[in-house]
Amino acid sequence: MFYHAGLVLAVMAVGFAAGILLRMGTELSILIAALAGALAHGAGVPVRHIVEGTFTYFDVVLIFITATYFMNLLKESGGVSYIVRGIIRRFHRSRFMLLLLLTIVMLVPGALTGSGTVTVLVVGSFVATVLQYLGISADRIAAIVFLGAAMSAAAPPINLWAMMAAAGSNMPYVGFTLPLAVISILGALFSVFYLGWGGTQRNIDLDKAMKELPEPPKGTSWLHVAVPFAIFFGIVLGGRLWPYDMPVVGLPLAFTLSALTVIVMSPTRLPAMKILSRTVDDLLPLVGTVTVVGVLVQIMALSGARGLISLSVVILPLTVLFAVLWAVLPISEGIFQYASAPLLGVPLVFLFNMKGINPIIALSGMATIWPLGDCLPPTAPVGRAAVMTAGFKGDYKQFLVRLIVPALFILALGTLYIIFASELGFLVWG
Amino acid sequence: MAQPKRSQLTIRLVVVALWLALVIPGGIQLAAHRNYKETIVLGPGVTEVRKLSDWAPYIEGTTNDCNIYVLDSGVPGGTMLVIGGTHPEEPAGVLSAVTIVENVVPKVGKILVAVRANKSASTVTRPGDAYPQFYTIPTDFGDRKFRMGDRWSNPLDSWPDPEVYVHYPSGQMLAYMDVRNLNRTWPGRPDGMLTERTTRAFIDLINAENVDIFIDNHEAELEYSVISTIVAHQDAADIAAMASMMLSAMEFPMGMEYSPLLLHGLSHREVGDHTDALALEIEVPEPFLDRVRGITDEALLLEGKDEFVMRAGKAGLLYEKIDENGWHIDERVGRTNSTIKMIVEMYNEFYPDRQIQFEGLPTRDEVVAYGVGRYLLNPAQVGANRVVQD
Amino acid sequence: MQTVQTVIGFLYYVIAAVIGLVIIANFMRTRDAKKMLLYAVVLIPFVLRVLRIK
Repeated sequence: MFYHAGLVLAVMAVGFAAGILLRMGTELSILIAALAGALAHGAGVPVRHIVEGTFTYFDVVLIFITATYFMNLLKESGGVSYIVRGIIRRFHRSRFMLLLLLTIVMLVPGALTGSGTVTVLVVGSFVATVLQYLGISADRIAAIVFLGAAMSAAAPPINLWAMMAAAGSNMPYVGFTLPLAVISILGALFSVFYLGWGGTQRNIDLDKAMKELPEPPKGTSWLHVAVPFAIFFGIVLGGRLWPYDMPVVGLPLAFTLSALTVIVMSPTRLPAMKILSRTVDDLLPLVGTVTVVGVLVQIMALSGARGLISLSVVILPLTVLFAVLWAVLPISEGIFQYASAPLLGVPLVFLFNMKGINPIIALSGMATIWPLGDCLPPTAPVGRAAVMTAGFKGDYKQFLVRLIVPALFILALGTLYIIFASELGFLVWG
Repeated sequence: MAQPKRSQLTIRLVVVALWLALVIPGGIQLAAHRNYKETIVLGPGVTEVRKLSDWAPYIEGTTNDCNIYVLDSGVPGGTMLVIGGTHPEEPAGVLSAVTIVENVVPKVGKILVAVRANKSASTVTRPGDAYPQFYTIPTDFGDRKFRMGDRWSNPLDSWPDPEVYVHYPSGQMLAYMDVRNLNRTWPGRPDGMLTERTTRAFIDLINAENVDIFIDNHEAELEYSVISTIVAHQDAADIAAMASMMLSAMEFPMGMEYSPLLLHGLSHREVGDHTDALALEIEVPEPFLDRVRGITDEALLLEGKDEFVMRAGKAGLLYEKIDENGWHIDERVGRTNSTIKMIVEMYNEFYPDRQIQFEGLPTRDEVVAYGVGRYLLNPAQVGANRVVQD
Repeated sequence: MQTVQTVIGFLYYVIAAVIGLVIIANFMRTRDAKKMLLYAVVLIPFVLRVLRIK
């Protein structure tokens, strides 16, 4: 079986490389890898598995599309420029306050939903625009937006990696609040200030900014922006505060309702269908990637290739494991997305329990490292969304290079959490 | 990469053709699984087949209005409820329940059985995990086919999920998809999501029928510490401890664990807390569930042989032994049945006033010797009124 | 509450159907063969969910 699974993995790698060489693009190359792996497995063309695999991240796809649609409508209606003008007018004198405010703004959506993509899609454009006026380069802006988003996804109360790994190992998702808060807030502040403190503009030139920023249409007031957001956060918070009296709305519908509110309240008539069509087109690389990765993951599970990867990690000696997790977790996230939590997280939680390592602290560390992998290929959903939002047109590698220092800082924190899990047990609370 | 107009049309047609060639057969297979009706033959002990909605009207018309098989001896005594299929990806629990329905004859008291406690979860397999859709058990009269399912209810029956699942009534937060996990939604609520309503319906059944003893059949991955064990609510701890001792001394090693006080939504915790029933859960080993498993197919599901899981065992990562013989479905069903039998014997010792006695349940040695197929009845050999679908 | 929940469930099918139709429209509009293929793959779950197959 080792040979078989190894062969399938090798064939997949060759299939992927062939796709790239033939200039098929990342998404179709992953699909080719999956199909090649299926053929190597010897089950012919497993149509049911291919079709079923496209559902693996269907929930995430719906969130991507509805959240981006909401934000695109808000931009089109002038809401985004309205907010940015407001923030700049109020805080243009203090770079420190601006950066602190932006960090908080970025942490909230992901903390509530567990999704870094939601952060990028919901607040990424405001943050990016304000940062531009601080004279920060586009690659740095993309890096700030990505790291803010990654840390927001890690931040409590909702950390999907921790929740999924806890669920898979029958551990209640309890006691994670403080450990996750400490590490994610530290990570976010370090990232934003490290990347944002420099820049060509010390403070914002108010007159210049006001002149350059697009004017929102006449009649735009704070209500046009506040009401759609209030509806979204109201639904999310309501579900948390009165879980037994509220129906389950779910994120895609919450975003859709907010989107419809933008359309209804917009001072100008918005071409809603055209914007939806453009949204779907913009998101095709992202949505296409997660869909084909779902197929790949299914074929890997079918052929034993997934098990081989999982096994290879958990049989490592503990010291080696500590030394490599900081790299293994983000890479697995880049390939498997959230599925890496049950795939590696569950066996690792079992392993930690067995070795007497505090699983809550160790898992909090892991669950902060995982989201950093969302900038890594083949999927890179949050990284690519961040680059798109920041309007960075250069090489993706340049963006990755920008991430190195803050990412190392977060990886170090996460690794310390794992190594000193038991000593940090006092953090377990909430 | 824009193409000239004519070749564009050709490409578009080719893509549509490929799409149809993939989606039509794939979709047919998925639909066939969702709509497959499982045959259950009513054994000599079954006196009535009712619906869960008989006790809980709010579940009527939903996928989870499962059959409740009633095996009533007519002799006053205690009442036992056994549920299989809480997690339909754990087939030994389902097949154990089927062997009760098709073989057991009650002598004192009443036995209620749900083979598909979360029927919805048995109509879907997990995307990304490459589960087989069905498994077949060989018998003398041919194969009996069963639906493989998932741990969670079908999204077609419960959509959407919340961003985070807040357990009722404890307020404990759990991962969003666990709102569809039948072993995280106890005691449930009648106006919740489908799986919460289903557990509430079982709670109503347990209360209405004065169920004395409640057993939830499960299987576990070998990487998980709660394995080859009986998990018992504190009120059932004496029975579980005695059953564990007797089984370990006479048949095979079987542990006993207390239901954690702080982990909510589980049957052994909430049924014990919210009803008068003694709540127990049985866990037998299923290598198919291990994350490190190799090729995912029906053979692994039924034979339980896997080199990768064995390798993890050599590295000291498992809580149960595994060798090249694996964990065959016969062994797992047999152990579940023997454990149920022993629990009831111990219960009878502790509660002689509300006895439950029965015959015909194939125990571990019998199932291993003859195969579980020996204890599945031939639907062609009984009258049509003794065959139902679940 | 159940009625509201049923309506919400139905709205999800509407959302999936609308997005599915937009994907089909974009598929018909694009002139890029790679995008056509990718749209086709992305469409699969939308169609099967709306048809209540998966």
